[in-house]
Amino acid sequence: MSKEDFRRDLNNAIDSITGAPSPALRDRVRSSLRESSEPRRYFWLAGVATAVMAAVVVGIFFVINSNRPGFISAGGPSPSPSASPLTSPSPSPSASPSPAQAFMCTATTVPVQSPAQPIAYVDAIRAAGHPGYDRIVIEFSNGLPEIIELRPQVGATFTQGGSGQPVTLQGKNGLLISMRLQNKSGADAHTQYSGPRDIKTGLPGLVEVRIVEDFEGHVQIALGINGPACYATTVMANPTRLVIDIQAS
Amino acid sequence: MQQRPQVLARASEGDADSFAVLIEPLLDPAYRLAAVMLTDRSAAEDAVQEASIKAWRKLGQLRGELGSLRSWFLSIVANECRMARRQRWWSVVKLSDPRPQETNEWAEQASSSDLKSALMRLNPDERLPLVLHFYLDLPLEEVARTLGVSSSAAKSRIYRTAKKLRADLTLEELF
Repeated sequence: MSKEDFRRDLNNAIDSITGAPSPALRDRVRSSLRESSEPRRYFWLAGVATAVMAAVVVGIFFVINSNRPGFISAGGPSPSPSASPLTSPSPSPSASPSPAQAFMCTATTVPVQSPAQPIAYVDAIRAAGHPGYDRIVIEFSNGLPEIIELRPQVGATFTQGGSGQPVTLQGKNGLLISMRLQNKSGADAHTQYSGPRDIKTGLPGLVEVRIVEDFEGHVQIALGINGPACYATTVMANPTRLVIDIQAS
Repeated sequence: MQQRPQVLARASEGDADSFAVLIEPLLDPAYRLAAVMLTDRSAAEDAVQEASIKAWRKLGQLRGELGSLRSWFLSIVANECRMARRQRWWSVVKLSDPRPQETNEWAEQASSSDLKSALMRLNPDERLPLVLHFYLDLPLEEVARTLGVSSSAAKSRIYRTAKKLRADLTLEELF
């Protein structure tokens, strides 16, 4: 066999494996480069602004939570964004030094623009470990859920939807992600879901992911966390996905 | 049309759009490299995107050498793919439409020919030099730079891996 024959056969094989990149890749890259260039250009300004904001917000945070037994402290390195955000929450940055994203330890609602489609589906869930944080990605098809709420808690015991029974995950603390996948069309999204419902990740921080409710478009995903239940969220496009970074202990 | 050295100079001064102009011609080969290493098209695009950001942040390492841009960028992509593979990603099934899972699609494609099957059996780092040299047409010196090895080591790796795909190949036939 000649080199050219080998090259041709090999290229055919690789072609059939790779396919072409999506047309959106170029825009994704350009958009993420622009985003990442902002801290580069205004690094010192962002640093000063973040320090001032963090001092103010941490003060407010402590005053508000001083009588709360379940208060979990924040702080730590920041994750790096990887795609163009559609929207992002307006977090109360805690002690995190990151100008782009800060870990927060209180309940938040992720601001979502009104969904164009009546139903969003959970398409896939992934998790991975990164230096300083563990990441869970919830990928949607057919647009974003109408409502996404995140509620950290002390302990990893949650209430199973339907039965009302307590369910305890691995980990010392927890984070409950509540999503309303449908708007008021009355359609029922939950029957589309057939994936694993309880997954031990083997990661150091985010140790378990469990779907504790999936009924009539209301989905709750509970996270068992070793360490503080502090997190940062981003909503990304192409594909639409909710990215939650769990701060390492 | 702007001269590439000028574009690189502006990128080095912090202009993200100029950097995007520089790497846009490399996105297709970078994606194909990542897709072969990760055998997952969506993950490959994520890896290219992450690698682009990292390249942007490390642009100073290029030291203005435009001739090294391709191998430098592809080596960042390859590293990103290695990192992606090291991370224990797990994926929950598709739910909402009957689109087949990519892994199944790949498996079916792989079984369609012996060469594909053999290629898929190689580990990602073994596939890398083959893709660089035969698929992306990089000369040996550039393959070596991308792999971070000498030219003779790159040649040796290409030959060793090619032999795994076609046992009857000789060195003379390959180079």
